[in-house]
Amino acid sequence: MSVTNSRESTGAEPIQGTTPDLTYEISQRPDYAMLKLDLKSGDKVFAEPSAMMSMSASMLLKSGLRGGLGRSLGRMFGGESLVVNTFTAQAGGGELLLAPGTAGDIAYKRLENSTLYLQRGAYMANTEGVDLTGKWQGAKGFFSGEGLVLLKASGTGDLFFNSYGAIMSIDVTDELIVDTGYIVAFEETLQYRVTVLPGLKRGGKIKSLLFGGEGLVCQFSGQGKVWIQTREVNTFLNFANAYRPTNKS
Amino acid sequence: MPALHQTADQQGVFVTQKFSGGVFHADLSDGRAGVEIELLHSHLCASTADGDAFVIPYEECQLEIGGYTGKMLFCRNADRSVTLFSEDKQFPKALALAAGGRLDDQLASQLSKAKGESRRGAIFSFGLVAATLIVLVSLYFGIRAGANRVTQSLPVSLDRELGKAAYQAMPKEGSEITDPLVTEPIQSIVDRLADHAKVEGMDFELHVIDSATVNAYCLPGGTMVVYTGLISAAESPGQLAAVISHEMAHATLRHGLSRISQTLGLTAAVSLLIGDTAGIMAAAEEFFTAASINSYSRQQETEADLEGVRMLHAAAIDPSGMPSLFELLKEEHGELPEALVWVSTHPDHASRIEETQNMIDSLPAKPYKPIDLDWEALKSRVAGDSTKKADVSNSSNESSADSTVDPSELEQENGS
Repeated sequence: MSVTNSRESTGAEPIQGTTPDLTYEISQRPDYAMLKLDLKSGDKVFAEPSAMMSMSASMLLKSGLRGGLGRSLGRMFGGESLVVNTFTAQAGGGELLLAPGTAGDIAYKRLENSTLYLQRGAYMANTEGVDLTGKWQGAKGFFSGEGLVLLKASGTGDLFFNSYGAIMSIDVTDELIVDTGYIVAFEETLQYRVTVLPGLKRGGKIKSLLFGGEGLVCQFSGQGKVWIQTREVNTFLNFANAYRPTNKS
Repeated sequence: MPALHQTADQQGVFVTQKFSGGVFHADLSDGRAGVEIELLHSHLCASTADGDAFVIPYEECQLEIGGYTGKMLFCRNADRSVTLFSEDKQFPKALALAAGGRLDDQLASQLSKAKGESRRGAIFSFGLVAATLIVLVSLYFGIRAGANRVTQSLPVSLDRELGKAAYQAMPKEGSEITDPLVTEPIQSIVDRLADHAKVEGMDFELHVIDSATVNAYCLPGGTMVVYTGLISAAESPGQLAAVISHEMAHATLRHGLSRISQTLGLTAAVSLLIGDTAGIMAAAEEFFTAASINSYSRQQETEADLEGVRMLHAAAIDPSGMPSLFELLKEEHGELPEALVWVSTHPDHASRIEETQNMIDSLPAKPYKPIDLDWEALKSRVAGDSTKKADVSNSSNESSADSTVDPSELEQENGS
């Protein structure tokens, strides 16, 4: 049985919505996206340090470890900062503008007692009720190029994450192969395996690994959503490295 | 969390369990929703927070285990339009029980598949860890071995520069003796041995230092230092020649360089491999100055003993001075407790005696020429010199002058 995985690409239109916790707008997409959040009095948003662009004077900012040392270390190993900034809207509510570190898009996901696994550095902000921890993935992580620890977001609440390049979500209903460098996030209902491009003979695998540039891939199976990005940082860095000025001594 | 509560059913009292999980269905916004799954007597029933309900009869159930953790149980209906799932640990068992055996086969095959996958994963992880360890360990030893080999191929002039720089920087424990009555006999031993050095290009340069310390050493490249304390402590010219040959062997076997490359670690090894000796020179000066010129490894000591015997034999000097020297040390100092010997870098005396004696026995018989020096004259000359200077060194340098034959210093000499 073969089912085509349906893709959802949102073009350059701003994405807006109202969640039980806040109203959000993701604008300037997809290349230099920014996130605008409207908070009611007393609402809280947690965001990675240095994500804040601007905020109303009525917002209160506190930074610190969140969820204890174990959680914080988990986040750190998941490629995020130990510290999380907490923005609380005071009387009258307020507006908060956030921007990711890399040039790229921002995606929104409402968690309803569900879990999302994020690539290193993809986390941006969340509301109360979302729990962030590191998830050790061992050998899989070693080969996937996603780091040994993935960031696990679970619970019920809003989650914002960012990519390098634009973000596209794909509904996997059977199987999907994604190059490891392009994964941004995926749902917990998907199983994945890191392999050399499947379907090739052994010699072909080695050839494609060495010369094809399509090294290791993630093979997702089951049902759920995968978010992929349209550019990969390492490929860009390899390209840019050639033009890097060097010290002549 | 399974909420356990009892409900009265038509057929009597039933235990109904609720499992939190999720549902996939095309009509749902986002395609999925969180649900509470109830196991009723003919079907699974899942209800969302919004009040939608999904039902899958047990007969239609297609089971699959998967998800990121590989522990999630998925149930699909016949046309696969509805998928219910839960990660609750109790869910598979409860489902099998509620379905009354109808799903046992499917569940068993999925479970064994999942188990196989997780076992494969575990084997894979273990293999990865093992492979990483092997690579690291072999890289470490490979680079060390490579560095040792490269050390041997570096020009001897590097040793010489190193030794000279180290000698300049080293603290001397006394003044240098230039009295030919003392230096010439020793120089004659050095000259006889130098003709049979294993390495070309060594330039053995003798310095006799007036100090009660029982010691002698040879810096890389051949800068040879003999303390008068050693001459006083030795019982025969043969023993003195044995010490000198042992020290010269350290230089000709180039133990100093190997030692540096090992002590300074991989960084030095790598820079040696790529031929960057400037950094090594600076570090080596520091290293020799800092102290441990005399600290060689057990293996290097044994090598130096045997090479010393070879040189003595080649120079037609009776090598039996070597084992007799160790006999002397053994009497003076006794054996270290056995347990300590293993941690100490010095091979114990008994094994040194045995190994050198074995080597001597294996060498072809050869007429030995006596060492051409007036032993008594040398000893008395040295003794006169030391007593003359003893007061001075006593006041200026306590550590070097506090005893003439301190067993621990004798041991130190033995090691070097």
